[in-house]
Amino acid sequence: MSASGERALRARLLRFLLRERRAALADLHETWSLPLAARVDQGDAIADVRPVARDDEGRILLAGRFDTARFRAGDRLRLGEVGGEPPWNCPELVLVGTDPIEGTLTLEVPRWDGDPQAVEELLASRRPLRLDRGDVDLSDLLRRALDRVFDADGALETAARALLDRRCAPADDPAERRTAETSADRLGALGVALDAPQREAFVRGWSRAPVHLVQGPPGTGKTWLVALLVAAQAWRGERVLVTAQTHLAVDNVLFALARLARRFGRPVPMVRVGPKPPLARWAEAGIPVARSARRVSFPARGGLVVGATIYASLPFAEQPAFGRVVFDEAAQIPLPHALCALLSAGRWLLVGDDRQLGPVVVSREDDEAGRSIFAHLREVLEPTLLERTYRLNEALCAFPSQAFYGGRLVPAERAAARRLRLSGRTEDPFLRAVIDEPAGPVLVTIAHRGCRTHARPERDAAVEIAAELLARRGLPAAELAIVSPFRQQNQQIARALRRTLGADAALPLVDTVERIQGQEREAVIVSLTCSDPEALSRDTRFLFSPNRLNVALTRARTRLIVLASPHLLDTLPRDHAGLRRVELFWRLFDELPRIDGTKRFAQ
Amino acid sequence: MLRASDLYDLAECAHRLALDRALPREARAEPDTVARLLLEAGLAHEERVAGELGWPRPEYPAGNLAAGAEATRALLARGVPGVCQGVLVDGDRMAIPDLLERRDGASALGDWHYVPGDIKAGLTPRADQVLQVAFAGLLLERVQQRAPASGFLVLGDGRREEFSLGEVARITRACVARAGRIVAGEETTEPFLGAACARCRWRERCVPEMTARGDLSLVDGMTRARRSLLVEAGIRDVAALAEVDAEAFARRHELPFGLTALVEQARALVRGRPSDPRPLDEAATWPHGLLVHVESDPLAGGEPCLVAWRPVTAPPERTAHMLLVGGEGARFALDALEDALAETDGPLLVFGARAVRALSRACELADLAPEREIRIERRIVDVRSMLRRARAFLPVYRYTLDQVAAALRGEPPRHDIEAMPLFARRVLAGGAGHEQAAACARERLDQLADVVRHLAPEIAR
Repeated sequence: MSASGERALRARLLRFLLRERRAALADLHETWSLPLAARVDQGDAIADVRPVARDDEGRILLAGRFDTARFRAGDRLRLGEVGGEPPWNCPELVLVGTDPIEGTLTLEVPRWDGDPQAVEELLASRRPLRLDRGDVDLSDLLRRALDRVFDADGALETAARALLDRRCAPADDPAERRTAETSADRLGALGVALDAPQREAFVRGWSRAPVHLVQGPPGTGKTWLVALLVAAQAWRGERVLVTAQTHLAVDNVLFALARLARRFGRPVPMVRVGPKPPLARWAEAGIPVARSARRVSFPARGGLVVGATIYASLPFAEQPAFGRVVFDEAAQIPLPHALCALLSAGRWLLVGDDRQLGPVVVSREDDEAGRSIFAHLREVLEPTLLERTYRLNEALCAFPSQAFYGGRLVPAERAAARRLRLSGRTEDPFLRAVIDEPAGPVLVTIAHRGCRTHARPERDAAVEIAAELLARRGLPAAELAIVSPFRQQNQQIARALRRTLGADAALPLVDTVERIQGQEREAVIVSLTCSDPEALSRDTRFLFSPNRLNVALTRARTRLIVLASPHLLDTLPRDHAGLRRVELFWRLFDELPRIDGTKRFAQ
Repeated sequence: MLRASDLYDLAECAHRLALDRALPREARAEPDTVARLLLEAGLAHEERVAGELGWPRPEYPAGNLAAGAEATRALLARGVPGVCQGVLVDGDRMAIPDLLERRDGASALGDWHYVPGDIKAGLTPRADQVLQVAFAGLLLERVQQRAPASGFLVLGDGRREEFSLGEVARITRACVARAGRIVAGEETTEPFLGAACARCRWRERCVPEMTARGDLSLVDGMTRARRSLLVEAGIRDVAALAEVDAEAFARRHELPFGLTALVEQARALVRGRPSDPRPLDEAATWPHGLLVHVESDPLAGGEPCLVAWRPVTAPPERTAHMLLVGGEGARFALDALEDALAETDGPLLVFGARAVRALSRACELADLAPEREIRIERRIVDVRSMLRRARAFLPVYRYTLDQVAAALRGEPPRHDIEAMPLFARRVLAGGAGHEQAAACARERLDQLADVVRHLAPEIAR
């Protein structure tokens, strides 16, 4: 890359980071300026929480209603009094976890920058408390990573810049390929059955080529393959950094590694850097934990797998000690964020699927600097596609395969014939048609109009179908999910479901598409909700996003029920990209078996 | 006969398409000056691109489309590299794509086939342009017995955008079918006040009609779906909407949207004067702010062409402005704007998301360092969104700067007030030059100052 090209790229990445920070702050202040009831309503606050106890590790237990809050373990929250100081003057807590049965939240004071005294004063005040969404500021860290990649002239930095500039030809050394194939055969002898695309990904991932991409569509065994590959590399003496944007993704790979080690009776030396609490599960799994990257001690000889989020990986750049970095869920890592882990080694394996939801960008969705490192590189590097899904049955696989994967995604034999097993039967012809008759997906059209973020007819349909599945046909709540792109619709469905099933009944997951990515259920109900074409015409990027549709359609193993108004298709976008997005929904309406639910739910 | 250009009209307003067929040509309004200029610029661009290609055109007696189609077919059968303004007819459907380009691959014509393309003066491909090319692709398929896989647009800056026709096939067929139903009188349409009305050839008919009956589309925030739900619920006009108790009515009729803002807006229209805004905490810093406006040039693909600014409390004579001519001009202008910003610690007050985007685009043209761009960006306050925040409802049909300023001056609402961008109006009035730019800059900032004073009356005191 020429000096001016590097300058321009650096400027683009920096501009993206600065804009993101500005947009995130503006969004947070906008939220904090709302009345508490509105914050609670949109899931950004929990009102009327009260302290109940401390747990064994001295963490704070608060009781309250948090079913509509969109907080996750690890989030930073602000604790304040109801009617007291605004959130920007309140102390921070870290959410450790929630217990929906007990109705409690476990929180702890941040280790480094917390204000324990202020927290104690609030807890002792005996007044009703509230929790608000807090702030996460990674901008300094990201800026340091950017400076490091672009300001130094070492071999690693030069290689990283070449990668960013996409000057990275895939290398295929026949001798190395033979070694990798032998290794794959050896795994076969141990009883590991790799399908053909997994084997190809294993062989190419094994090689010493600087960069390799593996695309893992839904249910294709991506995590398992990564674990296998990383274990094999560690066993041959390599040091591997396993990294991802979220703790969850890193944990998934490390726990899969631990399972593999147990299965083969051969330990995989590994360390988890800076995990989220609770730490006990790491001890149970026999995986050592290091508080930070600087505390990892590398053995003089032999392999080691280190698991850390990209943000916790930045210190490794000071003294690169790895042979390879494996980025899991790389299609969700924005390009400038990936820089944090890029300098940990000179070889990179990126695993992800850019046909599913990508990075969360709050400033400008169309900013190329904010797309994922996976999407950035796949323009010049053809990934190995894991083509066999072990999740979707044949009927469920057909549409996503054609629409998103060029027809290459096929169900594995054992998944293809899988059917939803329910007890009893229904005499209601509509419910029978929706639940029992089609083998895979079904589209229930309900001709409502003018809805944007909530639609009563679809809510009623979702609740009636879910109640039939859960209360009368014996489907466990844990095997059903209801998904809508809109939180308001999800809240209304959850409340109506609670009223229908009773206060003590277990509820299925009711959440947005973003939240269900990475999960699977036996049956899934998708409520597309919106039916105001003019409002949709202005911006087709959200509802008509092909990636969002792909995720929504590929969570179910055996039964998918899509609820939608045909008026969605009256949307006439303003640009070419919008036309292509809406076309995909036309195709969905054409290709899925259809049942008209208008009479039942909208009249 | 259904023409490719009908798809443009369908995208703009389905009712226009219906009126085109139902009413005589002479009843149409004349295009305004900007529309004429845009048309002339488009034709000149087309001529330039087509001239450079040097492809033949079918020769046929004017108006004889059958002869034109035959002449086009003859050219295609000869395998010429391309055809300009070829005529494609299939039954009651007709298209004259700007370009038909030869490609390898067998068809009924021989070992070759053609793909359709259009020449457009804009800088990004619009949906209706893609639909028109796709429509021509459907007609071309009948001629060559092979569906063209792709189509293309040659844009205003010479870039060529090629796209797969398969990726828009279903929506194209649906639009063609709907346009066909409207043209055949099988689907009824209704006027709806929208952005397209300002330059529409039927504006002198529809807009007075809608105004006279107090059509619900006059209310900002209305959509066709909302209007039809309200009409079904018994609310037929603005006056009726202004009368309802928003929350109770929405609940009683199970409307899937909130009515509060629509009712407040209807009341402002009925009342004919602005509501008092709620005080805004953030307005405390505005007396130290800078009013900024960035004007875009519709004749140059909507690129920013003028930036103007002055301190909120300064008299109009202190308005500064600069024309954004090329990257160097943009750099120069933004340097000066930054100097002005450095003299104050208040916000940079602009009106509307379009102005914010234009300012951002100016930074891009100037190739400003990211830190400098963000320094400017983080001080921007969009006064239009503050109107919403302050729940200030004005008697306007849409919240454009022109309409808002007119309402604050006590003028009745007008639909066509933004028909011609101010800069273009000024330039056309007196020829391009600094005097017109200065007048435009001052007029815009005066309007913005009025809006700011409405939201923060303490500034005036």
